[in-house]
Amino acid sequence: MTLLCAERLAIGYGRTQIASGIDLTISAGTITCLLGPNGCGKTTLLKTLIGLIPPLAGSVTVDHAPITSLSATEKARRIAYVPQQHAPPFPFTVGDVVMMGRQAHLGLFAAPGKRDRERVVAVLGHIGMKHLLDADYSRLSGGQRQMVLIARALAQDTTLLVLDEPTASLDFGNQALILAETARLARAGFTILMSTHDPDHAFAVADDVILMKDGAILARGAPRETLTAEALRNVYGVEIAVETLASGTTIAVPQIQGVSRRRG
Amino acid sequence: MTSSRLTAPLLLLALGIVALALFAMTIGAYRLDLADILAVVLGQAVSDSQAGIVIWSIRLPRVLGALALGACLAAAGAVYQQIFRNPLVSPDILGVSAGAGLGAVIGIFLSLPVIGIQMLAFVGGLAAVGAVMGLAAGIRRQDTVLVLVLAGVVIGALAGSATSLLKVLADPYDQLPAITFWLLGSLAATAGSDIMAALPFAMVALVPLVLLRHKVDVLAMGDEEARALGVDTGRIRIILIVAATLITASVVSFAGVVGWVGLIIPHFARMLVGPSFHRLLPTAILIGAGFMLIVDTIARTIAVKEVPLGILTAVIGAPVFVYLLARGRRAWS
Repeated sequence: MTLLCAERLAIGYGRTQIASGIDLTISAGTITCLLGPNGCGKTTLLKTLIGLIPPLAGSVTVDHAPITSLSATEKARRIAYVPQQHAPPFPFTVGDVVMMGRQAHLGLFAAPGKRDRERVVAVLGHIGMKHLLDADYSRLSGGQRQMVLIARALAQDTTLLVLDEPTASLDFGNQALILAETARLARAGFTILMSTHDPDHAFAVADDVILMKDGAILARGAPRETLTAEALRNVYGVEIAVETLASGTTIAVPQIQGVSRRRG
Repeated sequence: MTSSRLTAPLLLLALGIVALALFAMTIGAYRLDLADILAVVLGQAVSDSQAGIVIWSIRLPRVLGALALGACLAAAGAVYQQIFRNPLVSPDILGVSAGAGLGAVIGIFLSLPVIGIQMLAFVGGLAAVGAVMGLAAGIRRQDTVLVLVLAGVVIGALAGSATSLLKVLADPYDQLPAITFWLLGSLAATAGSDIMAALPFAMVALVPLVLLRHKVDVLAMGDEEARALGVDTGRIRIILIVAATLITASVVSFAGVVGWVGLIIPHFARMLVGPSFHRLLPTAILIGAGFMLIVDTIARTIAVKEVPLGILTAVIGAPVFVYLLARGRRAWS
């Protein structure tokens, strides 16, 4: 079943067009990774797909409803967006932050009620962070903050989660934790669209990969068929070897040449 | 995160402020004790006695004026800081105070009656904000908040220079002291009727702040994120800015320009109850009211002559500001 669909989509800001003629579909219950170098238009495409930026041409439909016809609240009831983790200027508690995910289900003047509070505790429990309910969000580690933002998206009660480089600026271990969480959510029935820099992340969790360069979609399909050494070299401009380890994990390794190891 | 946990402390704070207000009413040249005040206020003593006149036409308006002034400046400051995502923002950020100041100075310069001066102050405050919003709408950029703040600085500087010009031209014996006093803020010349004329505007403007209290937090996360969370940021931000400005302009119209309160009090409130706006707003209002009452009581008793409020709030505010700064980023957030 198609959850999100873009047809002949042109994206960009104002008069500056970044890409055009984009066609894509996201099927329910899958993880799709949007892969490409910095500045290739990943974030612009994501923001257009979730209705934060209006399309310059073409259409985006969510659950068969054109996204431009939906209000901010209606959009937020269909798509939950997880931005890159960041520290807000004020020390909100983890509970405060997750409660913001309930806004889409509250009227303009409504206050969150008992059911909303229960939902907040439930989603924090789901990601194993219930004990941090009253902790200061801005004092958490980057990885924990990213998990809280995922919990906030879950509190929105949507089936589609869109994550903008959720592993960026996280350390090695936290990247793995976030990836494991996305895989777990997909098994639980969520549909996930996420952008990433790292081909290994796509190999690890994606059902489907969209490979972008300079605003154009170069290839899409299953990770191992799409992310070939040749395709990656074409996109990133460096020699890359794609190898499958004895454990069955596929990795992409850049071939670093001409750099002599020096001391000092 | 429940608001019920906050109800009891807020009630205590409110009771403390009532006690403080009664105590403040006993202080002054005409000696009154608590029993006199309670007898008059509760209607057990005649209101046209000398004590009654002092209470009804001097002390009570003064105390109510101070409470309203502090409450309004703190509420406006809390809103501005939250929606501009900047703890260093204060109610005069959009040029409200500068515009209202210019309006009042024009009134004093033209030797208008008090009510005329207040009307001009009110109109000046709104005109300044109107000009700021107009400028910001004209300059279409990605970062509307930055454009708004910069436009506020520009309009504030323009209004400030016009004010300075009028000070140069003003009669140095009659008008200049009045202008100076007004620009530093004072309740010395404020009658009960002035407060009653301005307060309805502040009350009406407080309604959207209370109604939208749960949306304000989301705005503090940034525009794009707030929209992704389902909040119509553009409309709500404009409503909140207009409301906070109206609140500021209405108190400036009867008390003059009092700095620091709108900057410092929301910080204190945030340190006590955290940044979540449905807790921050009532706390800031109560602390602001209590703080201003204490400052105004000091202002009218510390010396033979009344001390302008702006001087006292600066003397208290500046060290507090430095202290908060020295505590590092954590105190700001």
